[in-house]
Amino acid sequence: MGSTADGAPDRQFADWYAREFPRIRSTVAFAVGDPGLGEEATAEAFARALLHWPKVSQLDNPTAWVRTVALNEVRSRLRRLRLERRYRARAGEEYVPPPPEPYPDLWDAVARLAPRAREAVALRYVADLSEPEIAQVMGVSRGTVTATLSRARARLADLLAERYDPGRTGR
Amino acid sequence: MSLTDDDVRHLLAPLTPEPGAPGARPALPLAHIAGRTARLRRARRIRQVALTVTCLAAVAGAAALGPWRGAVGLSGPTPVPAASVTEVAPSTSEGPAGMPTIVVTRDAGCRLPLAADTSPAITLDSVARVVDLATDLLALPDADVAGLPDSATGGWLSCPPGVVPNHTGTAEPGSSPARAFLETHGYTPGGVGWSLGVVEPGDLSVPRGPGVVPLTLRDGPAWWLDGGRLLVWREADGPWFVLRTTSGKADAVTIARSVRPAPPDDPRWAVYLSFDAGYHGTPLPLTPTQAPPPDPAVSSGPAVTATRSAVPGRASPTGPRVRGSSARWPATSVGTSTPG
Repeated sequence: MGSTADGAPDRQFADWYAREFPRIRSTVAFAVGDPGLGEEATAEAFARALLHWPKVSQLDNPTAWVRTVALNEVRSRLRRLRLERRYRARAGEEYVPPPPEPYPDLWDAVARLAPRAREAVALRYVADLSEPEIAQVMGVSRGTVTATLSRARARLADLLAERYDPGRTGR
Repeated sequence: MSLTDDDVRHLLAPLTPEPGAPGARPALPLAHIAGRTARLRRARRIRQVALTVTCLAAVAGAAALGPWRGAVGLSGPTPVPAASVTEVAPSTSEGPAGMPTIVVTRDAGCRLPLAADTSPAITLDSVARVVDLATDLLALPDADVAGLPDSATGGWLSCPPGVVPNHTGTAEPGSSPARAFLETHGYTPGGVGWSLGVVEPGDLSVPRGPGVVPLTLRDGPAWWLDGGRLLVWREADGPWFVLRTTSGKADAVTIARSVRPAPPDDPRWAVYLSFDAGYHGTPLPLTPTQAPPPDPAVSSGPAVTATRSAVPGRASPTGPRVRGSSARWPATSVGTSTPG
């Protein structure tokens, strides 16, 4: 399972991949505040899912598995990136940022959230997880999730004051 | 000022467009994922090799330093196919101080005691050979292992598939399962010597699955042979594992292999120890009543060569020994058994 005789992914994996990849990518990209890194980590997570598809497909929630793998991958890559940047700084190499994404102000606001707040917001508003589910994913209590989300909303309101239009939502 | 959930979703919507919506990125091509998976597979193989090399280096390095006293811990995923070295660490308190083991696993694993305390000559090459042997061995079907002829393997004690040696003691007065089996295969009591013992569950871990031997011999170096052979024997069914050490070298190690799946609730194991080239480590004590009687007729059997009969710590070249409290001999054992 997972791959056909010629090594290509089988239909079950392909369908699941097509259905879940975009949302996982959005969640992870948001959680890390970096669309490129989010996509890279998501692709890596799905590659691992394909590698272990016979087992992953039997899980109760393969999507949760791949999301967790992707988030772990992001953390791991961020650690490596920090090392890489330190090395480059010592070596006198200039860091060349990736090309700008659309909505740079939005991405900048996201990037300025604290990492845990960003992850909580991604899981709540992108992945559409409930607070108990987020608590499970992040390994914290539900109360912590509630507080984190509350602070994150306040912070976003500050960061995106110009974009924020209370009248739009009828408030 | 704060935001409602809907506010947040609205504000962030441009960053997370629904699939198919304007600005939404398509999923990466599936071929891209498949390519990454192939790379992961390759990387995993490379890591396995690297871990194996690391493990071997650790063993060789520790051996070079002399007796193992500290932990040389190494753990990780299976580093080689089929058999895998997953741990290098001193044995438990049950074993000799500082005696390292390599754990070779297929599913649950088995332990390979290394006589680093008595064999400082363990080398990277010798450990590599062990890994190779273990890999080959664990990859063999059970029947093939059981049927390996001695001559073809340089000393594997063989038991043709389906052949159950005389384990009822009926062949002759005083015979025992171990003795009958050993004699059938050219091993002689007396002469060079062979030893018999019994271990209880706990001494030998109960195998946890077919073809798996999580073997931990409590007596450590007592079972350590140089060029010898160790049979782990379930009294009712004949040989269960065949262990072998390499011949005549201080860097020998013991390899365990299940001949067949063991039952989960096996109440009792007998360990039959045969050696033809002396042994290292703690001598195997054997009380006189447990010694097999000298039998010139069988002691001239063909397959045994006494190349190291005067090993230090061994009181007599002809006396088999059983060590320690775990080496209790059943009532039907050699020298005391009754006709069937």
